[in-house]
Formats: sequence, structure tokens, C-alpha cells
Amino acid sequence: MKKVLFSLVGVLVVASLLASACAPKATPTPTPKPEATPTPVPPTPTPKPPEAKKVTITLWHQWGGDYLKAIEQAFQDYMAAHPNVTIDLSKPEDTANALSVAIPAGEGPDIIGWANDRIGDQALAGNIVPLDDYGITMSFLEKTYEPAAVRGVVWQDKIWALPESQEGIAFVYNKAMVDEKYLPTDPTDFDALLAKAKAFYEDTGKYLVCNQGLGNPDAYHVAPIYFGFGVPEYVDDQGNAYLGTPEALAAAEWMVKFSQYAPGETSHDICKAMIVDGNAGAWWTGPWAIADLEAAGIDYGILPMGKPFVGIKTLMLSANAVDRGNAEVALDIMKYFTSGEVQKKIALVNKTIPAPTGAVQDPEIKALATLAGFGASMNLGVPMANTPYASAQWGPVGDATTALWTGAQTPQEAMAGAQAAIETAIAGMK
Amino acid sequence: MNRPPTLAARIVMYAVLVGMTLFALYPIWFAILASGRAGDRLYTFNLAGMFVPTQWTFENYRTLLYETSFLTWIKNSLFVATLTAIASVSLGTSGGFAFSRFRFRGREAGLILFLAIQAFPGILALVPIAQILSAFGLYRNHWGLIMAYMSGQLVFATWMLKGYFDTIPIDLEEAGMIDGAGPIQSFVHIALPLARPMLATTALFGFMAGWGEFFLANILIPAPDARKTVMVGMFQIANEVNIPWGQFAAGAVLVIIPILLVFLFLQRYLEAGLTMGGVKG
Amino acid sequence: MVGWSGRRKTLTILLFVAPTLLGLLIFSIFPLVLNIFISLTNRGKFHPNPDCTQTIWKIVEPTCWLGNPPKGLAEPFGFQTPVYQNYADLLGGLFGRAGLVALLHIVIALLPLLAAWYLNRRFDRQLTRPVPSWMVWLGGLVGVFLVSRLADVPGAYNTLLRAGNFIMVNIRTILYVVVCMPLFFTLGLIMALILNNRHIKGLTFFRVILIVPWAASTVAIMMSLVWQFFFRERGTINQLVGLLNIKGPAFLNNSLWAFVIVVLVNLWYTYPFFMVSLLGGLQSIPQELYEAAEVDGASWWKQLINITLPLLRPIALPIIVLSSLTTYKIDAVVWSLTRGGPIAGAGKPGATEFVMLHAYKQIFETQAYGRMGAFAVILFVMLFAATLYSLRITRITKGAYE
Repeated sequence: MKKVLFSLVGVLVVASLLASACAPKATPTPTPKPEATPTPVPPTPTPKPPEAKKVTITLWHQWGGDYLKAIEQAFQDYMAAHPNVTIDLSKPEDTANALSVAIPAGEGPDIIGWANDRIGDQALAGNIVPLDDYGITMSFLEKTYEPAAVRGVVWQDKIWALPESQEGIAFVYNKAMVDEKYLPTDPTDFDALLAKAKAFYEDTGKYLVCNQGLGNPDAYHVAPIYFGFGVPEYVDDQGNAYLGTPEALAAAEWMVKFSQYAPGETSHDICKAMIVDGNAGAWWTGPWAIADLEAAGIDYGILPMGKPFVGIKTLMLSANAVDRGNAEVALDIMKYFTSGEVQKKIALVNKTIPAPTGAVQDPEIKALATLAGFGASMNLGVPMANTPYASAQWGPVGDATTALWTGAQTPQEAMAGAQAAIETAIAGMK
Repeated sequence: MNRPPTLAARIVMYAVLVGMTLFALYPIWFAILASGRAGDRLYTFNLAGMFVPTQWTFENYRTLLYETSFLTWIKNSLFVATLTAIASVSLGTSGGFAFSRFRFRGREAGLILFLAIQAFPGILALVPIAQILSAFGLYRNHWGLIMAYMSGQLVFATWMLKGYFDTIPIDLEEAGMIDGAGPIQSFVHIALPLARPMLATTALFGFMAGWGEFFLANILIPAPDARKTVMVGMFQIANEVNIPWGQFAAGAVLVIIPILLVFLFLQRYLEAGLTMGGVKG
Repeated sequence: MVGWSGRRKTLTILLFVAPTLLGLLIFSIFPLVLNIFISLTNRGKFHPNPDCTQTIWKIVEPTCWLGNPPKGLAEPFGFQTPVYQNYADLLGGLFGRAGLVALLHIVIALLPLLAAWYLNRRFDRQLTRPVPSWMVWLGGLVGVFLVSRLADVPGAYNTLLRAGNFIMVNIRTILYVVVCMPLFFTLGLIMALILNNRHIKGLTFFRVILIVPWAASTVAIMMSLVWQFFFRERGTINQLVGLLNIKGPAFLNNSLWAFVIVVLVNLWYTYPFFMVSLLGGLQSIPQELYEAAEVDGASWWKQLINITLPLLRPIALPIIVLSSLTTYKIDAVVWSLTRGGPIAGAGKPGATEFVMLHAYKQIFETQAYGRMGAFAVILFVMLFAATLYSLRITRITKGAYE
């Protein structure tokens, strides 16, 4: 017995030694291919590029799945053109808290790819730096990007990020399953939507639309409903919350009625499974889901419904990049990635809506059906605020909506609770 | 309790045993079934498929092992868990020996104090611990994790080993002392070999602590992929936009198998360890 | 030990104990001290960074040690006025007038149980008991019921729940522990009794198989996701039930079901521990006692109550106490299963949001570090006291000479 025990301990020790020996010391890019090997610099006396020393730029992002492939390709192209630069992409699990520990320790990334509503709290914490100090001016922004995108990256009169794409959700339906008569014609007419959902459910026994904000706490996905009923926004720049308004209450009451004709439990996964399996006619979602629908071979159409949040995905420059002296290179990468040509290539593959004007005006992009559909939806939409007050809205609105969806609270209680919670949170912030 | 039970009693007992076996094993069996299913959709399981393998493919395992960083995660976790086990055994044994054998003022009070301080759950101290480790330069470093896990296990290990040493009569060591052995020699040559069963249990608990811990690993090593431990990696898979459930189940099976084997191998020590060392009244 | 001189002894002891002490100092005591200081400030999302020019933060706050403290647009955090504001926010409801009155009502309602216990003790000392023990307890329970009606205990309970999230979450967690413990113990005891029976075949096989959930509890975070799938709207249970043409409910959307599910899953993880410990205890009960009881004609049930249970007490009590504390601190399992349970409304904790989970959500989702520092300190005091008391009950700290 002792022998076996010792041999087990021995095996474990050997295994751990092997593991530590084999554990990679460097941090390779997590792509299926090995790192792009630098092409050998030709030994001709041509003027070398300014940065001749090797630089590794770390980028923390939120891109996932198939979405990521085209983006990685763009970075590969940059690395091929700039052989001394290595770009390292990572997707942390909980970016906000990971940053709050990493950046003070000097171990954070150089570039952060995130939605613009985080600009406020990251700037407050000192994790990101304003780009004005690095040569980005308002005129450059206005020349290069769409106006909504420009507004999204400016806060307190400073520029904090470069926008790469815009997104908003819309009513994406399966043409084979949903007849013309069930489709919403007026984006702000919710009573009609309710009637059509009821008719669809009674006629086919299936749900008309699956929205992952109804049945799952997700204030982003239910926003089109609230804003479509007339709520101006959840929280404004001065810290006023609008959940206590009669419009919000009307939206809440509509949702309770709608809950009879929609699935009780939802999530991105569940909705996707429902539409792919033919249990739901439509999916209230954004451009990120289109790749899945196409992979499943669904003939989809896109219609605007309600007034969604228009979010701007951006690239921010972190304080650690400045400390390490990588700011110039990082900014160069940021400008490259958010340029018209690169975003156009990505948009053609991922069906996203680019932020640079050059890409948006391009005829190939304009011809994309998704651009027309989502673009129409976003034109009606409400931009996501980047003030830190806005971070108070997500929890309470999602929770209140879920509570009234499952019947745990009445609409009045839910809205009153949400208003009170947001106001308490904001009072704590001031 | 001595005569053989009646037929009725026997039937009931076997029924309960079989029922509990199903209860105990079904979730793991389910994960095994799910890992052999192709596709990534959660809701297309037909009913029979939840109980017997209606189809089997190794595709999920193949993708998981060759196309994600799963093997690296396992290596990392194995490294962290093994070192936590070794460290907590070595240091816990020395502490347990001291508390058991030496008479010093504040011994009782000290142990009680340690145990009570340790009662504080780590989840509330996550950010301070992560910040301390970062301040020492151990951010994104496995050694930081090992130190944190080990210190969480130390007091528990000391306590268990102390209880075990208490049951070993002191005569052997006193005999050794007569022959001139000092405390350290007495520890290494007499007490340690006698404590083997308990060492195994303590090592097991240390390994378990390091293998399955998520929250601290998540905040200390969030990126890059190649450094994550396996729990953090599995959660990354579970939080993707398109969750590949088959891969997740395959990962779950691969993660549970080692710990199951270690457990089954050492389970005889478990009972001994618990009754003798730990929970003596 | 006898014969080793004083000074050498101290050094040797230190050598043996130092690593444990060091680890405890760095990873348990220091975070506690930091939490105490932070709990007196208003650190949060809008005041995230320390003011490293002040000596106190230079010493205590790790991000100041690196020499490059973060500087953002926000003001650094500072001490609150009054300094104990966070504590008042958390506990205030309990110590306000309504809260104290509610507590009083609940204490009054528990008095009959106290009386029953006291009466039992007195009866035990008498030669012949006028009333059997179970009748006294029954009388006590009836008394509790009556007084609850009179003193409006349900109303008092509701008042306490509304007194603040901290209190609500604590009460809910205590309720959870109180529900779990009897279940764990009973199931563990049943399985231990069965496995202790020599006449059952395949004992070793069953013993090994039934421990499997304990191994799975190491990776509880992951296994709980698998468990969660069984209870989804289109999960296993609903599909099974659908065979009978009943549309199953969305279990995780219902407060009561969610609570039951968390208890069930925790039972799955914990019963092996009870089973193995109680089995060890059963095996140390000498057979002669049972044989003597058989001779006297005692039934199986009587043997259980009068021999087995009392002799199991030295084992049962420590493991119940240990398990209570661990169950109170549950976090990973609930987080995976329900993320805090069906939402009860904005700003209110969910139905299965237990203490640790609540703290985790508050820290990581609202970043209210100051408030959570106070939470952590209060919890530490509670757990410290509970652990000390539990150690007294189990008297495990005796050394080799006692």
C-alpha cells in the first residue's frame, strides 16, 4: 500500500514538473494557426519604419465565436505589414473586475475593445486615457466616422476611444415560417404586435418572437419596448431616471400581456435554438446573430421594431500602454482597425454596421440587406449613454422586467422598485 | 441488527441502494451522454437520448482537445493543484505536529483562533487578495494562486493532522527521545511515517481545493488563454455567445475523471481520516 | 515535550508553525484589516481610487505600494461622515424601532420551546416522569404556534425582511441551513445504516459508487450547470413530464421551486460526507449493546433511538456543526444554478440569493466596495463567534496529553 501511495505521489510530482516545464512561457495568440512569423526584412538600405524594435500589444476584447475570425484576420494583416509588432488578443471573463485589478498592477492590456457605455466608469477609475493628448482631434473624428459614433466616444469634452462598429437590435424573422400578415408594419405600434403574436400563437401554436430580455434579466434587449412606448432613456446625463413615468408603466403592462404569447425562459442560446428548430418565428436580436442564422440556412428578413439602444463598439487606450511606452504603436493599430477599408472587409463577412463613414457609404456595404434592415432600426434608436450614471440602469431595469415577466411583481411595483433602485444607486454615486 | 433482515427489509434496502446509485451517478452519466452528441444545441435532445447513448461521436472531444486550449488549461490546473497538495501536506504536517506534541502557552487559544479566523470565506476577500498578489508581482502567475490556495488549506490541514497525531501514542517518541532524538528528528523519523493515511487525506483535500476553485483564479488570471486554469476555461466556454454544449460536456467529463480516480483511489483513507483525525468528539 | 529547554523549544515551535502563521497573516488577517478600513470609506464606482498621499492608505492599500497609483477623473475615496455610515446602512433596519419590536415578538414566540426544554430537564431528574419527553416537546411546539398567532410573528417576520437586504439575505440563508441539515443528516444516516449491515451484498461496490458526488463537489461550479439543465423549461424533467402531457413549469422562475432545487443539489453534493462519517461512527459502536437489546426484546426503532443515535452523538454533532457553517457559506453552487434565483424585483435580492452570493454580486456588479467592506466585517464577526462556539461544542482542541 505504501508503495502504491508513494508511486502516486511520485506520478503527481512528475506530472507537475512536466507541466511546469511545458507551460508556455510566452503568451501566444490564441488562434488556430501559430503566430504569424515575421517576414524577413530585406537587407536593402531603404529607410526603415520608425519603430524598429519589437513590440507586443495586448488587446482585451469582447468579440466571440465566428465573429472573431474576420477580426483576427485584420490583425494578422497588420502584423504582416509591420513585422516588428505582435498583437495578442484575449477575451477575459469579467473584464470590468479584471481591469480593476490588472491596471493598477501594471499588467493590464494596451488596448481595450469594449462598448462605449463603459467609457464613463473606466475614465473615472483612471484605466483609460483621453486620446486628445495623442493627436486625435474632433475634426479627425468628424471626418472619419458617423456622427452617432462620434457622439458616443466623446465624454466631458474629451475623446476617449475610436469607434469601430455600431449595433442595435431588430426583428429578425424566418421568412419561411412567418407570413406577411404576422409581420409588424409600424415600429411603434405595440398593440398591433401583441395582436399579431396572439394570432400567430393561436394559428400555429408557436411563439412569434423570442427576445432574450423577456424572461432573462437583460435591459439592453428590452430597451426597444420601453423606448418604443415613449420613455426617453433609462437614465440621463444629470442622473434622472425615467422608470417612474407613465410610459414605462404602459410598457410594463404591455409586457405582462405579451408574456402569454412568448417563451417564459429565454437566453441567447434558447432563442437561437427556438428559431433554428422552428419553435419561434422571429428573433429580436442584432447583427452578431446573423452568422448563426446563415449557418442554419434560414432565409431571414429584418424589420425595425421599437426604438433600440444604439451601441457603439470602440477601442480604448489603456493607462498601462502609456506607462509602457506603447501608446504610439497602440494608437496606430487602433486607427488601422477602425479605418474604412478594414471595417468594410469585416462588415462584409460579419454583417455588422461599421462606424467609419467611408465604409458605410461604400456601395458593397450599402447593398447588404442587413445594413438596410439594422440601419433602419438604428435610425429610430436611442444612443447608449457613456456617463457613469448609466451603469446604474442595467441591474434594476433587467431585474424589474424579469420580475414582472414571471409575475413576481405587478407592473406598478416593478417600475416603482426599479426607479427607487436606480435613484439610490445614483445618489450613492454623486 | 444482528439477525439477517427479513425479505421485505432486504428488498427495501436494495431498492434504496439502487435508487441512490442512480441519483448519485445520473448527472455524470448525463454529461457523458451529452459529450458524445454531435451538434451544439441544447434543446434537441430526444427523451431516449437523455438516458441511453442513441448516438456517439468523438467529435466534441476532438475539437476540445485539438482546437481549444483545453489541454493547456488542464496542465495549468494539474500544476496548481498538485503543488497546493504537496505544500499543504508538508506545512500542515509540521504545524499539526507542533500543536499536538509541544506544550506551549497559548496553544489551545492559538489553534482556536486560527480556525475561527479561517472561517472567513475567501470570496469576500477576493479583491484584496488579488491586489496583494499583484503588489508582490504575482499577477497572472500560477505561484500566486498556489500561495493563496495553500494558505486557505493550511489551518484545516494543521487541524486534521493535529487530531491524527493526538491518536498516536507519545511513547514511541519518548522512546526516541531517550535515545537522543531532538524534536525535528522525532518528527521526521517517527511521527511522519506513522501519519501516512492522514497525509493522503490531506493531500487529497489540498488537491481538491486547487483543482476546482474558480473565483480567485478568474480574477487573478483572466487572460491570456494559455495561463488559465481549467475551471476558468470551462466557464469561458459556457459563456460564449454560441455555447458549444457538447464541448462543454466533454470538458466536464475530462475534468471530473481525474478527480474521481484520485478520490476512488484514496477513499479508504478518507474514512479513516475523517473519523480519527478530524471529527473526533 | 519533557526535556527540551525553553529557548530552543520556542524556536523549534516557530519553525514548525511559521508557514501557517505567515499564510494566515497575509491571506486572512491582512484582507480583514483592509476590509475594516475600507468599510469606513465611501469607496465605490464613483470613488474608486485611494488617495495615496495619506499615510493610512500608503500603509494599508495594496495599489499604493506599487508607486504608481491609478489616477482617474474621479475623486479618491475618503472616510465617511459619520464614519460608521456603511454599517448603519446595512444594520440600521434591525436596530430601528420596528426592527427591535419585531425581534422581540419572535423571541417571545420561542419562549414555549425554552420552557419545554427546562421542563424536560426537571422531569429527567425526577424518579418517575409524569409526562413522557415527546409530549413535553409537543406541548412546547403547540405553545410556539399559539404564541406566534397572538404575537403576530408572521407580520414581525415580514417587517424584518423589509428591514434591509442584509437582514433579508441572512434570514434566508439561515432558513436554508435549517432546512438542509435534517435532510443531510437523515439521508446520510439511512445510507450509513444500510451500508453497515453485514447481510447486504456488494457493500464495497456501493460504498465506492455512492461517494462519487463528493468528488464531483470539487468541481461544483461545473456540475451545477449540468444540474441546472435538468430543470430548465425544456430540460430533462419537463420533457419527462411532457410524456404525460403535462406542461411542466419553468422551475427556476419560481421562488419556491428554485429554493427546493438548490437544497436538492446541495444534498447531492453533501450526503456522501455524512454517510462516510456516520458509517465510521456506526462501526465503532460495539455489537454487544445491540445483542443485549435484542435479548430484551427491543424493536428495531427502539434500538435506533436508544443506542445508535446517542452513541453517534460524538461524531454527529461535529459534522452537523461543520456542515452548517459550510452550508451557510455556500456560493459556487447557487451561482451556477440560479445566479441568485428568480428575481424578486429591482434592488431586491433574488429568491435564492444567499449571503455569500449577495456579497459577490454587490462587489462585482455594483462595485460598492465600501458597503461590502462593512458587510464582510459584520459577517466575519458572526462567523468567528459561530466557529468559536462550535469548537467549544465539539471540544476538538485537546492535545496529546489530555
